[in-house]
Amino acid sequence: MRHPDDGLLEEQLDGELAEDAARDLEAHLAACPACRERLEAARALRAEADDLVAALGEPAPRPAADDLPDSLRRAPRRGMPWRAVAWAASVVLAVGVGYAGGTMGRRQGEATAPRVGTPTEPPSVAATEPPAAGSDREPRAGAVARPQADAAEVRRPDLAAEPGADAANRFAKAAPVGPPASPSVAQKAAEREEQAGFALESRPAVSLDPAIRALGGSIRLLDGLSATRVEVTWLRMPSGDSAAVVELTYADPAGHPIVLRQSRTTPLAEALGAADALGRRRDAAQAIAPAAEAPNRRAADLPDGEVSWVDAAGFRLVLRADADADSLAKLRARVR
Amino acid sequence: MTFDLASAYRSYHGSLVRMLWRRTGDRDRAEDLAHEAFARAAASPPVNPRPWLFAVALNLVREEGRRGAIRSRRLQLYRAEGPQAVPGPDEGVEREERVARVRRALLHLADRDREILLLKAEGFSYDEIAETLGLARGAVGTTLSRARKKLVEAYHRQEGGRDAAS
Repeated sequence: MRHPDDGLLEEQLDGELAEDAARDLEAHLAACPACRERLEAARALRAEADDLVAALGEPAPRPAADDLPDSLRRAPRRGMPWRAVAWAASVVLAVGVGYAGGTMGRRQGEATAPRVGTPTEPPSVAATEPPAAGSDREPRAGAVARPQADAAEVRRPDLAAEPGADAANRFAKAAPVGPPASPSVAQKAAEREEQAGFALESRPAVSLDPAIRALGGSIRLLDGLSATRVEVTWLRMPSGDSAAVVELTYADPAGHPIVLRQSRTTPLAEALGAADALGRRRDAAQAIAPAAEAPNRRAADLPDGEVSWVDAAGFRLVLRADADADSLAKLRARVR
Repeated sequence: MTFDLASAYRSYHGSLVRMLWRRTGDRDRAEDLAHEAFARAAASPPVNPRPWLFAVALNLVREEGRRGAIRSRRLQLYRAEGPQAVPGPDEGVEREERVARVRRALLHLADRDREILLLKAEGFSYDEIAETLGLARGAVGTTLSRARKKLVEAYHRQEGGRDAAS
């Protein structure tokens, strides 16, 4: 055998050499003092390097760190297209569905509906915490909805109740949870959960206040129209922070839906396309679309056109309507 | 054999977080990256989980580095590890010093050299290292040999005062 190169010596030291190669090496070393020295030098270097790396230590342990967290238990079925949903889908904590009829969105009548810059409460961290985190709201005049006190307990479906390994392996549809205020709301929520494949917590809301609080004290509205529906969805970031995505549904004069979705941007949320992913997830769930992020695959009843931007206040906005680019641009100009 | 997410999590999550923490110096970021890797595995289950998970996580670190978003984090590495760390073999103030010096030394290494050392420390075999880093199996030995040498050199170069490159 010729003199072994450094890589071969390293393999020997790491115990990765195949038997016959190891035998050849032994034979060579027996006859070659220079290589014996090299081996010893390499041994010392290896030991020191490994010591140094070991000196880095461990991160401080966290309790139950090795159990699959709930956020990954409800991972989406294989084949769901967008990668962002891998975390986003798992983390919806609250959905509020409101049917407002005439009372919604009439800004004169909506005494507590602030515009940008005139918050009813000072924006604070508490305002953006997920409702289940215990930030029970004080009663507000005119607000019909209250966070359901037991929402926190039913927040996560008890997958652990399922037998054995199935619990973790089940990218399963969660049972509908949440104490909705009316049967129709419950039904809607259940349908949505079935389609979306994960647990939603329904919290009925018939005013903009929860949405405004969720966004930190301000909200962007479409001028000239009244919203017929408000949805607040909480997404938990991998870092543990939560972000609220508010979806307002309007109807244009012809009755076609216009949807305005907004959320405060963070670099992580942007990178993962949080608000967009939320929309796409719903679209795909309703369209039962297995394909990759294909914007042209939508259910027939969803708006076709979409425009997305970040406003000066740092909110990611997504506007969806059955309209061409020009009309979308005009609509966008009316978002304040 | 189907990919068992819970089992992979139990087996690899701790190791992945530790490797990422040693790589980035940031516990929260390590957890985020690990979570992201497992989430992606859930969405597209890998055949060979451990190399796949670690490769995804390391790629994420590299991407973030390239985007320059994390440059400021490097400064954090120079501060004492404090409560974040559980002590390695050494004790006391010297230990903290040592940790800081090792971190600084690691910064001098190329990505690949740094990564191979951290993977080896997590008990990866040469085959697994090759798969994780996209190396030829025959190149693992030489890469490790070089990486170990460079780490030791970089560590000792700091002897007698703060590293000028910091």
